[in-house]
Amino acid sequence: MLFTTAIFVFLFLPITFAGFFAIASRSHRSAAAWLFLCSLVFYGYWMPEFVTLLLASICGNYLVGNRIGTSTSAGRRDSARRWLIVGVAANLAVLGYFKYSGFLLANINQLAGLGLDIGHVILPIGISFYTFTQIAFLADTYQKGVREYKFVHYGLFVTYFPHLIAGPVLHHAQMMPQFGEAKTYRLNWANVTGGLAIFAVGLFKKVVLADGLSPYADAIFGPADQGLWPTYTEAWLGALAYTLQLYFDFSGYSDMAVGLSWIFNVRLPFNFNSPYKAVNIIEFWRRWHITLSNFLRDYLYIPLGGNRLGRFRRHLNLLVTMLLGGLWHGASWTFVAWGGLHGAYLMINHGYRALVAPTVQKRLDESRLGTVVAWSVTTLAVIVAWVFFRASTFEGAARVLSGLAFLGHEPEGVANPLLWNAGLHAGTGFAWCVPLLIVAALAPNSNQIGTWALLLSRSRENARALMAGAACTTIALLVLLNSARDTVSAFIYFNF
Amino acid sequence: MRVVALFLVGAVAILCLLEATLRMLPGPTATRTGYYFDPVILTYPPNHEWQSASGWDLRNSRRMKSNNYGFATSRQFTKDPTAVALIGDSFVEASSLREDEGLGPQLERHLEGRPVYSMGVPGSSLLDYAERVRFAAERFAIRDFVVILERGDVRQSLCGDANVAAACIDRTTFQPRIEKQAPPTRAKDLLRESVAAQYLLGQLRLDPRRLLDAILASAGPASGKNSADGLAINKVTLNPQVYVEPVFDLFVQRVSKQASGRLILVLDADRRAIYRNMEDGEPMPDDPDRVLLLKLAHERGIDIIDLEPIFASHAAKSKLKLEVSPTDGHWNSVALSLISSAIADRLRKREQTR
Repeated sequence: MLFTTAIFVFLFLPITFAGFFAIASRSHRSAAAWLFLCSLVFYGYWMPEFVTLLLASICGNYLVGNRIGTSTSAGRRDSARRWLIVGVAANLAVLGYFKYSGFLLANINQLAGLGLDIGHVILPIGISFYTFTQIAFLADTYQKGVREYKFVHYGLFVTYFPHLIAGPVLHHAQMMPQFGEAKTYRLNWANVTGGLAIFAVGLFKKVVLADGLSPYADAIFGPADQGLWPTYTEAWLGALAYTLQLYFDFSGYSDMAVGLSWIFNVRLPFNFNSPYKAVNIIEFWRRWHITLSNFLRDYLYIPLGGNRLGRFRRHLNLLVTMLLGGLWHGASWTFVAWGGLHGAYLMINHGYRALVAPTVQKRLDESRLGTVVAWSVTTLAVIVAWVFFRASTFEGAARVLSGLAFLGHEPEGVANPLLWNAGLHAGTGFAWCVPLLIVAALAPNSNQIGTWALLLSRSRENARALMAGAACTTIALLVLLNSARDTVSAFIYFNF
Repeated sequence: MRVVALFLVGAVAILCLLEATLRMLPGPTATRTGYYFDPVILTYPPNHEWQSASGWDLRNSRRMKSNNYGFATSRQFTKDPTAVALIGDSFVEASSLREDEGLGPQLERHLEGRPVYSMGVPGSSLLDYAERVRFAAERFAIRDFVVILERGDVRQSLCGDANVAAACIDRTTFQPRIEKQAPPTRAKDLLRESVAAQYLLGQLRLDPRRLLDAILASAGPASGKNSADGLAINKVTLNPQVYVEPVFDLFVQRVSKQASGRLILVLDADRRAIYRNMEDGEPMPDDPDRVLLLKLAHERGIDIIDLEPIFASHAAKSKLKLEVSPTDGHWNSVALSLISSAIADRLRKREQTR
């Protein structure tokens, strides 16, 4: 189910909300079970056949987690480690089969000249997110002695509908205490109103901004993958449009998840913090998809040795982490290239920091020109990397990149043929992109707006009622707009 | 009670903000169509100004103004037997394009000074065209007519179709009837003043049934709702073999009385089939409406330009599409250039053979 659809907003959410608080007044555990059940309905609405897989994954990880916990409590670390390896391997095997088997086989076939075929494997939606969430749970159980005795709470932690499909990637420690608190089960109109306001902001980012930009990116990348060369205007517009589309799409989804969760008195971590304000790549990764970056840091980079094994290993670990981070996004070499490019950027960034004296860097940071140059270089590097992320083929990426490098081909008949065929105008496209880039780079972000909305809603009753009316109307209008359009537009990160 | 009042104030504030935003953006404004010059011909009011745009994101916005006879063209209509009347629907009005890119101005450039009266009104039908032919002949003494037909025009002549302006043919008896559009209610008149209402009801075409369908539809993320694009045509249960001939014959009967000079029909092609043919080499399937219409025109001795070979020849040479956009099947300026050239050639050829 999509957060942007009428069925979610007008049917699923009110029923889930009313049921949760009605049941919570009698039994907290039953209310949690209701939310768990509703989350399964939310998931099963699209792919009912994969609810079984999701439930099997939850049960399996719950059992393995308990084994790890029991072994750790009994001082049997070897046994706990064995259970951890079994659990992580099983999770990766399932993820590997559904997400990477076709890719792997295609590569083997190409290398060995074979014709192996396992048929078409459908990717269960959200599998990357719920697998990573549960691997983190197993690792925390092993390392930090985390225990979870209530199956309902564990099931709800994994399936909790605001984050199930596309994150944020949650830590067990962030969620379980909240499911155990009595205040989570008390209707709090201030949180409901604040949550609705944040949801409305996210919905606007998705339905108006991301979906408004999407045609300009699609018009360039689709044909480029099919062999057509964009002009330099088209290449710049396509790359810029995708850069912004992805941000507003995914951060909009994350805002909606955070807002929805507040309605149920559950706080989710922020996933974005104005990434396009970053003035270097290290900062970019502290601001972009924060929960995944933290996951990769805690469960991949640090176990690989992090920065504890010397400069060379640190750079190698960074590169490996980013390559695997790229592969996590999808079974394609273009995602690996995107990850590798960011790994290289990070290595260069760390190398630069080691070379430049802190006093010089401080002076540069304080200079306006230095900041503008640093921001421009960072943003350009990010845009170039997104080309690999968006293109389906290396040839398509190369065509767009050659356009960005002003090596575009002479157009035939009209100034920008790819835009022409999509019925778009470059001027209108840039009129979308330039102001939105300025907003992304300078304006307060939705975390700040959301925090302000929550504070206002909690402190002033009159403002709360006004805000509730405004938020509900905005949500209704945006859902109506979305329903009236010709196509259903899913979130980009649903594919990962 | 105070909480409810404040809630409503919040809701109204958002609606006001939407209204103000759309007034700053090129949001669509009311067209106020009506029967201003003829009891069965729907036009805009004379010298009426409005804003048009397509899609939810207000693409191809254009400031439009009707002429002295309520048609969306800057050319004022006067009595002129040398003029050519160009009759059709939104394909002639071409509100998504700049005026100079439209079919009328392009044809006029080909005809080197001969005035072209663009008489396009969106969403009309074959029998409405016949009424406009009559009107042009009577009011402006025009003798030569070019009628632009898209594939849905015959079906849209059946009474009960939303596109019928007045003249139509009964679905069962195939007898001609008049079915005029109801005048706007007071509520509709009031809503016309609001750009937000225009946007929601006119542009997005919101209606409760559609919303209910959206709630009940179990579409997954990858699937799309069927696009209501300009290439699509309304489905009716009647077999084309049954209604095309009576509609066409009534049209010919009415038009022949008026067109004392030349009458040229221009028939749109199935462009999707042409593109498919270019991409996959799949043979183009025959559209039954088109085939029948061409056959009838030839049998009745009506001059008709079939756009299929013209568009197919273009598609073989060029990758440039002929539609305004993938979701708007109206012709773009490249298509209109091909069509205007073909019409001008045909007009000249006929001139030489006379």
